[in-house]
Amino acid sequence: MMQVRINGKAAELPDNSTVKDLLLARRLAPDTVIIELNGEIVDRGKWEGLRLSPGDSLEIIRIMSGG
Amino acid sequence: MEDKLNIGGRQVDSRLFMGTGKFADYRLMSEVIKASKAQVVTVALRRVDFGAPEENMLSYLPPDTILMPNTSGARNAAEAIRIARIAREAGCGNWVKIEVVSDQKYLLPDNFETIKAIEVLVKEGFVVLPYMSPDLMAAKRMAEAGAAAIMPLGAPIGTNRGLKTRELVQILISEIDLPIIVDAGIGRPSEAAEAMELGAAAVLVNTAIATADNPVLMAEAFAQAVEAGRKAFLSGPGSTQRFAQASSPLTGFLRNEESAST
Repeated sequence: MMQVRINGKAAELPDNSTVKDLLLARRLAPDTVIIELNGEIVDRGKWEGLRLSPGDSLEIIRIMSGG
Repeated sequence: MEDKLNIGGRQVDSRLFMGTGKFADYRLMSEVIKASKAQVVTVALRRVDFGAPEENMLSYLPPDTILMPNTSGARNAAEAIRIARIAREAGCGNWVKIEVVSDQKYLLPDNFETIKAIEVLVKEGFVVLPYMSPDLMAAKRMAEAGAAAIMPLGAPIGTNRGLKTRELVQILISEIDLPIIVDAGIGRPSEAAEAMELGAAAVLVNTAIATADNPVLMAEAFAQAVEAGRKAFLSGPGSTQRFAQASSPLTGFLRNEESAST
């Protein structure tokens, strides 16, 4: 297992997890979220192949209502 | 009479823009947006809450909706720019409402940081609509930076207090060659009509509709008020007079000429 940060909180993921693995594990529909990895937006097309590393910081963001 | 609003090269059918916050659920929000006939609708970006999974709000919006993601939560230009880029990546299109706020009591926007964010985002191809404190010089800088419209507040966000900034908004309308959209503070349809009569290009309403007992009915009322105010502006209202000016001819048939003159 490896330690990462997701939305500001410490989290554990299996070694070699990809961004897509994470979304599946958290049951998030990929077309409803946006991902930032260490402050940079990750292109949707790269989610499947991109392996996360220990210490990575992820933001998983979604569109919500607001004025 | 053809009177369409054009923002950033796109024709907008309704001059009532709607915010989507504060509704009990997305179903009600969807009904209200339909009733308002609003085409431009604001959305926000937030971290996913794993404890409380949410539905996809976009599926509740009519297909021809123009999304205007806001940068709420941004306290400076850099944060606003970051949110705008995320919104575009999320498929919100290239419109963005810049909202930079660091004053938590009145939620008044930071015009200086807003101008910096506009300069960067316009170069990246965004259609930028800044929420701002109505100040002529700031609005000029925003226009020079390439803003597509200027969105002065009528009163602080969520207060329903009306067009408290009327005199300043009027100056922007007369001096800035961009659509002026009154955003925030409008609490009643009559106040939306007032802004439109002044020559505002549109108004953005959220709290006034969302916090009404019957939001669907209030959305209809706002739609009518915005249309009425726009028509009044286009029709060129007559001048005001100090003393009465009779609207009916004062023919003296109740009296003969001699007695009328005595």
